[in-house]
Amino acid sequence: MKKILLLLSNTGFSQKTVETAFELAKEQKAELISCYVVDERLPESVSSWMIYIGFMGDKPSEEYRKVILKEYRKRAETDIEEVEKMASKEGIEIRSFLKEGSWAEETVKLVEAEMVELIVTSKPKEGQMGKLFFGSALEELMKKAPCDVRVVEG
Amino acid sequence: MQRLVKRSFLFCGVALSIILVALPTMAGLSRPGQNCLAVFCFSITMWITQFLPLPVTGFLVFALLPILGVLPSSEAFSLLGSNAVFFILGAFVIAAAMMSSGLSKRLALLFVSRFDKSPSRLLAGVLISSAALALLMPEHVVAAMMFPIVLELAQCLKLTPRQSNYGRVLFLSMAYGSVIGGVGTFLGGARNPLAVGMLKDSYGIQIDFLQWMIAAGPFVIVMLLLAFLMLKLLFRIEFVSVREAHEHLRADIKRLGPLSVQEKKIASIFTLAVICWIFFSNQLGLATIAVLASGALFVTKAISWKEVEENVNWGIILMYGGAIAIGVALSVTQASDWLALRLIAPFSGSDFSLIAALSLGTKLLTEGISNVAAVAILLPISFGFVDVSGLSPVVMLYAVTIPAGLAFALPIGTPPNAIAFSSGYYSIGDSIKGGIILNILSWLLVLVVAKVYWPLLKIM
Repeated sequence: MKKILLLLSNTGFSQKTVETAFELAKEQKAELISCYVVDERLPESVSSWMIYIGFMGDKPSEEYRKVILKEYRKRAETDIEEVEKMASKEGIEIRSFLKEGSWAEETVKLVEAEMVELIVTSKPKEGQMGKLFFGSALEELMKKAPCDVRVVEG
Repeated sequence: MQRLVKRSFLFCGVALSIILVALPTMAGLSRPGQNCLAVFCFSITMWITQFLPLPVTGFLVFALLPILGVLPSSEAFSLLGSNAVFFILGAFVIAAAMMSSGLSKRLALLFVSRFDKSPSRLLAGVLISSAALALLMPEHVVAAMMFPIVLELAQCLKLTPRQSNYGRVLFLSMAYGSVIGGVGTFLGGARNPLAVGMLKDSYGIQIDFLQWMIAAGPFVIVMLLLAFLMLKLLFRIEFVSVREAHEHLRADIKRLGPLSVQEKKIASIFTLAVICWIFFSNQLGLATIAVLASGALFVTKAISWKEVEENVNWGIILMYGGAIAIGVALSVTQASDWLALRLIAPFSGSDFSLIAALSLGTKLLTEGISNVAAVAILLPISFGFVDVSGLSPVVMLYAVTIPAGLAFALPIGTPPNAIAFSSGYYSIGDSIKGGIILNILSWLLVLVVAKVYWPLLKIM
């Protein structure tokens, strides 16, 4: 059975992306998997700025990292719950994963382990500006993904 | 693309440094002066590209100056032990004590809880509390400490990231408050004592704690007011009930319990140090007071060395020492005068246009690089303008150092902006929109203050 991965992240929740993944799963009679990757890139960069430019020691930087990752995890759980509720209303079965680390790398690992054939994800809301400052995780995913990636705008 | 630009800049900067050393001496420059420009060019390149860590660049300056015959090695290395460096060292030990004892968190909660009666007051509370704390300790420390408090406020007010305008303004006000407060005293931003140290070592002029507060005070007050109005007008805040935030803050304060003996010791030593800095810094010296106060913290067992090490990255000392050394070397070899003569032509019409250009240049630079590096790059150049323009070096000091602290637009401008941005409550677009407005307003304020207020203080 074909597997579709609905990929979520802390760059913003997109209803349209979730709906697209549901439609595709129904159309193609595929199994739907959702995965939320808590991307650690931003907290890591901020933490290193605090040490490198702010000249703060390891302790405050580590405390900050813990606080923000806890917050991201909480948001991830809320979003996963929301997607599961939406799927249940549509009568779609869904398996959910919550991962932490590099968005692209964690996704590729899951895609390979689950033999996913299509990834459905959103265009990051930061757009060109975010890309300029923090690089593009989406571009990295497109390069590394061993399957098709459908990017939903809006 | 970004990497390509960085690499090209790095290549050009290093190549220019080598060319300056290899070229015959240019007219108007001595050999040590030209070599000093090469070291300066190398440092600028490293500070901007961050190819080497900031402290390592500072460290290398001490070796490059004697090798290239700019300063004798004994003189170059002695600049690491300047007053400014020891003041910063002491101030960081005190800040570490306040953080590790929980005194800073208690102060933050007490400040914010004074303003938790309505959404607008709570917003003003976060802004003012961040600024007030940044008058007492480094702005980066303040932002890191305020962050969990503001995050908990946003959670108990059930504000949705990226959707709630109130969430946006709460985090932006935390960042803006920390940044604005950081220009008010020597304690808020270490670039301030660094700049004062560079002035002392280059011209023998000492600016004391109170003089700085009087000259920079209007910026803090007016900018806080402008930031509050801008946030309210730009992001129309929705109705939120702050009752839960009020209860949450009360519960947090209750959980902290009564003031501990350790906190009392730190508060007393810190208060005494501030009094000495304000009233006796001319007699005792800023650095002496800072070192004595940090010593007192250890003697009274208010802090351990391990706690200090956990909270402070000592690389700062090398970075600041290097910046002071290069500033002095540029002044001693008169390379800064040579550079200023070549840069001053477009502004030779008026001193005011020179101040306007310098402060604008500083604001642009500080948005992209560390504000300490911005001061280290632009202050020696601006000192070069002193001899050719007739302006006081004290004016140059304020015109560069105050705008250097006021980076509002980009998350990479300064750690408070980056910390607030990582909350996910606002976008880069929000940050740029609000930041550009505040950058323009703060630049105009520098011009107004330079024209109207500083002459009243006989700074011109």
